[in-house]
Amino acid sequence: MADVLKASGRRRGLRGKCRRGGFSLRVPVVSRRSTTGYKLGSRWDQIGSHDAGGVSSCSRWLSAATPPGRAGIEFDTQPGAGYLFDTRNLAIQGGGVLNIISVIAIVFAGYCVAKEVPKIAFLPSFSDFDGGTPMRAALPAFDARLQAELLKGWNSEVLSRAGLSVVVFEQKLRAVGEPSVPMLRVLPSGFLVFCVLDQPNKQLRVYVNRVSAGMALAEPRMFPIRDAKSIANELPREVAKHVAAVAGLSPNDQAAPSRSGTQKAVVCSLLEPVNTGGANPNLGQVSPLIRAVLESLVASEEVGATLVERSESSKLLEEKAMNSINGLDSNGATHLGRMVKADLILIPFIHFQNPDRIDTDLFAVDVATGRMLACRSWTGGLLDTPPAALVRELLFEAVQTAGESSLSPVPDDRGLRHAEAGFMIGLKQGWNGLRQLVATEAELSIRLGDAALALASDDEAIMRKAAKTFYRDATPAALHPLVFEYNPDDQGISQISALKKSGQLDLLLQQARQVFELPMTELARTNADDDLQLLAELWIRLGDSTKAWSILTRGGQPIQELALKSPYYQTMVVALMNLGRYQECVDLLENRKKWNSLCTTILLDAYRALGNKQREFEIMRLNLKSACKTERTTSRFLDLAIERGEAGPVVGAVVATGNSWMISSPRVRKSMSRARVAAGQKELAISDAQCGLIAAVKAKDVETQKEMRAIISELGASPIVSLPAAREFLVFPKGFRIDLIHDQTVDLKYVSEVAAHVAAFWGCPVHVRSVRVDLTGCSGYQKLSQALELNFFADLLTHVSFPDGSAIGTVFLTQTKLISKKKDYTGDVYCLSRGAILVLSDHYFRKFKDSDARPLPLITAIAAAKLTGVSRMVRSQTKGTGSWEEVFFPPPPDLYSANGNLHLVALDLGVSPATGAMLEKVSPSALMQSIPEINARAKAETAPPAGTDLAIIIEFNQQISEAKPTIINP
Amino acid sequence: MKIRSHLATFLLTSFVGTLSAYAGISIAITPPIATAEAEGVEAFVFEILEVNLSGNAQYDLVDRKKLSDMLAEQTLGAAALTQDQASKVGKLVGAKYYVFGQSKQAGGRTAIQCRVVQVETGLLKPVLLIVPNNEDPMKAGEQLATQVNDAIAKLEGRSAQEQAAVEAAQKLDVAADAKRPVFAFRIPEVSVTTSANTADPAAEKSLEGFLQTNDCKMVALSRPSQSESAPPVAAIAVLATSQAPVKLGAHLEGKEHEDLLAEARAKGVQVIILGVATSERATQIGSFSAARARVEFSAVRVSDSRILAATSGYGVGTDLSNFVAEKKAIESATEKVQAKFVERIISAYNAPGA
Repeated sequence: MADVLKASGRRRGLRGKCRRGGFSLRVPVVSRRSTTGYKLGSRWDQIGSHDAGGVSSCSRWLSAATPPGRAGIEFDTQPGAGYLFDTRNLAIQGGGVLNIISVIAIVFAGYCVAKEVPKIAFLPSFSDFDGGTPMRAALPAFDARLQAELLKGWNSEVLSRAGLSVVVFEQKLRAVGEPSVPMLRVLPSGFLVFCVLDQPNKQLRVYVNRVSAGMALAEPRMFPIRDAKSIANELPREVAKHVAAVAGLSPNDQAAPSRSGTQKAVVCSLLEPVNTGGANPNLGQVSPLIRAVLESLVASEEVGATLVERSESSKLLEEKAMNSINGLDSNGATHLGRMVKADLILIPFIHFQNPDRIDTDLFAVDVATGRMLACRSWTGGLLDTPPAALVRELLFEAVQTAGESSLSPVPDDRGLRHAEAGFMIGLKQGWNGLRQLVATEAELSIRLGDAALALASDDEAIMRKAAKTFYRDATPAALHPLVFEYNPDDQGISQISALKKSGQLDLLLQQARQVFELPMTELARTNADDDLQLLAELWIRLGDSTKAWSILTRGGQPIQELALKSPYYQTMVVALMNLGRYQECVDLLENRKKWNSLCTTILLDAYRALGNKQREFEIMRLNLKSACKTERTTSRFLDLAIERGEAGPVVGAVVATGNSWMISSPRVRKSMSRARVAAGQKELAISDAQCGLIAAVKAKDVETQKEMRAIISELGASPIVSLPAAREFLVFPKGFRIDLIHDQTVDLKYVSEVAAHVAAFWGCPVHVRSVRVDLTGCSGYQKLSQALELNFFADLLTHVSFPDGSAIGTVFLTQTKLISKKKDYTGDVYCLSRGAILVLSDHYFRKFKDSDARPLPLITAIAAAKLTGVSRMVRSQTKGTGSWEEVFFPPPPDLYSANGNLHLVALDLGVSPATGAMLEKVSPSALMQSIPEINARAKAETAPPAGTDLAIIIEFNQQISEAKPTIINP
Repeated sequence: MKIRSHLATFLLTSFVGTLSAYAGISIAITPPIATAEAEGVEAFVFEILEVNLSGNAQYDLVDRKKLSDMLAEQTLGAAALTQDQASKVGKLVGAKYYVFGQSKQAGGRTAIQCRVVQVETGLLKPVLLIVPNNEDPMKAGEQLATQVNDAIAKLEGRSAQEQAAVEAAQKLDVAADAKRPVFAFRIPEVSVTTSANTADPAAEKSLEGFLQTNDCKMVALSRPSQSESAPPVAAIAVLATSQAPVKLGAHLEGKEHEDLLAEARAKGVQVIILGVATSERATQIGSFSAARARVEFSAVRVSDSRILAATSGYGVGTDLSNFVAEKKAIESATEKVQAKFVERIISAYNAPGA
């Protein structure tokens, strides 16, 4: 006889208790106060640190322990709030204390058993030195097969980290369809695995991260890659073994489930094929076809499954919303609970070496937990019908496995879920040092955003953070469409154009919409400015600026009032530009009178589109930093100045404001040469044009070559074939030297060649010293990208005691990858100066190995030859004073190498005649005197090292003092 | 030109299907974005499909280009929605089916896919046509239209069956000669959602509607859904929630209860349904709020205070407004239990010796 615990007054106050480690559970005090049978719930006392999972576990196990039709336990795991436990439907067979104890025993046993099988989840692999190589193309195959390997060969639970937004949608549908079931959550993993393909080093870095509160990135294990084929064929098994070893998995010795039998019609949702292969011109064509063929098969009589639509859920919701507004159906067609729920989610992972032969790994995912239940793989032609028998098998096995899993439910663990979501959000920062294409970053952002949003679907703060972190990269887009016309050569813009042309951009945007639309709409439901702004930005990037504008104006509120909100107005401006409403954009900003630098660029584009050059030029003059921020704005500034007869002052302004890499770019150099001609700066114009011509010849830029030749000819000069060395203009006395210190990550012969080039250029001996320093121990070292934060490291180096004596410059050369994480630039860089110390990594230069005719030691030497002390002296001797119109400083592009575009500049290790003339004025003794001063100043501006960093400096100093130099003479 | 003349001929000769039970079905078609490169069958097939479906008297094709924008205004700024905007939304006809189309060429063949989706249930019927690139677009379009028709017919058939089951569940199954008592209600409603307002009693209204449909008489009491005095302090966990328990003035005791029965007797009430309806916000799906509710009813014979039947149930409602969603949830919970509950009341009321 069933005894309802809640209804029994004599059991009031009864408590059971079980304890395991930090976990403790008490059966709640139960009471009853109602005349209509209304039952009062009670409160779990919170004991120990694992109560959230424990209570969930017990709730589920109690639920499972009750007879069918009676289980209806509601629970909630909000930490710190205590736990309300609805005992209305909790029934215990037989009654009496023994039964309670037995239930608790089941709970305890279940908890223990559930802990035994490790849960593994996989993120898509990252890629360093992304590009269309066979190795990169094989990476999606590796990802899919690694998951399949773990699923089939090892005793573990493999959790999907793809398609989770659909899992969450299904879970919510269940909650709105059947009110008595608890809200399901995606399971957190025990181990989160992902890999980084390091193409230059031909290795795969595998990170097996234990998921826990405050989790950190694990130490990677390196797997050498023999060739592209081995990535797809052999590595998955090897890596699976490694994962199994770390996670403590045993080989799967269970018999394969029966593949025959009948079952009820399965309801499935088939998602878009997954392929994280980066930029792939075939994907836009292939992916929809594969899905179409697969859908057709799954719904056919041969397989017999029922399909539900989940890719266009938002469109269905819009229809329901419209009916709801119209009051067409009180709670019928508009009721989301009427939507048919999927039993399984099917996710095809596709990969191909050519568009005609496609490998497919089809995974079935459990809607209740996000577990991968089964997998089948096949290879076939694009429009070939997949093997129906395999798909049937997959569905049967998946349903069977899901049924078995539901008998042993695993407790939710809110803390772990959130820790995993937080870790994924943190990865976005970590991958800044990886050189990945726009398409790859979009794919990763979509996948990580999807997983993080799903794992934290019950926490708006984490959801908001995840959305903010990933939505932008997930939706590759120009700020507004004019950028494609005004700045087509920009690396990011040209990649987006290519993606658009191949159809892959549409695919990416569609996937991004499926991931971000619903969660960000949910976040915006309170109409908070920040959330509306975020949602509107998403829609702008997805290409629907009309919708974004509707959101921003909130159904027609006065624009003037909304434009006063900051930074809200910024998104309004971007929306207007995307809608082609340039005059309104201009009016909005001009009426505000104040705007940020991003909006200055937008305003300039708007005036340009409107043909108002006068105001465009005025805005540039008033906002020099913005005008000289990018190549295209600087070039435009100079061109407008020529038109308006103000070339001279603008050249001065550009030189004083713009940075050297921007001024050295071919585009700006072209405009600069023309501006100098217009300003009557004949000698400098000739010098710039000569440098520009050399660069254009190397870059095979015929148009620029013609233009430069024309300028040189007009000015009565002759082209030069190569640039002279600095030693021809500045002669250092005997005893002066340049120090080159390397950390043994660079080949010694290579270092010697670099040193020889530098010595020949300056006419000064180079002293080469070798130290062995483990830079991976620095606190500025990032494990994921295996890169060193350069600003941090350069600061650190100011505290090193470099060799005494007459060094006119010190170069620290390493092969460790360097990145910058400054606000104005985040990404990889190759050099930075602090005082007279130059930190230089040749890691970046390896990018040019295949595309640049110059030998790598020469490229490295061009960067190493930049002596900060000399540059400073040239600048101080030539810089004018007074208002910006009077400042004139000829840029010596040939002295500065440029971050990010060295291959475009195509520099020689030489100086222009104009720069040579300036070098002649430099006094070596004055230069020598200035070095200790600028080093001391740099040191004073940095914080003293501590901890491991201090230990590294001490070790560094020790080795420097002991190292004997190898002297390379000119 | 050839294609155009085919289209004109087709329009003239397009079949007029016999009107079926699913006449007037509204369909939204979203063809792929036409690209300059598309040619032949890929370029025209969806145009022909659209013409074909629009020529079918069973279907109303609806435009969906502006819906999304208007809904964005509505859901995010309902208070600020202008009359004009509201009327625009109101004039739109809801689509019962969506047809998502796309076509891609692969080698010498073109794959044309239509994904036919029933909006209410989300059920999907895929239609895939693989034809040579030089296939006559007219022929392919007609084939596609036939298959889309079939898909809709199948989904409509399933829908009709389910609707019939729902309607059957709402019919009162009692003996024709059974006496039906005069009813009155007292079913207060409480929302557990923080800062939510207590609303009109949806449960009571739902029961009223049901009893009226089934020819039962009802009498309104003076305060059917409000407590007579200040609500007693009671900690109630209605559904699982992390929020603080709420106060509820739901149950009458002592004199209040006796006064209620006295009023009922005076007004000729034979059975009074006492109960409580509680609701809370459950989750959010896009712009939709989902709410859950629980209702509990007892039927008390006024003459002797005997309880004739008692029941309880859960329901869920979804709406753009959380407030309305909670109302719908209560209504849904009531609809689930009301038929059986009233049957038991009438049965007990008519029982010999009762």
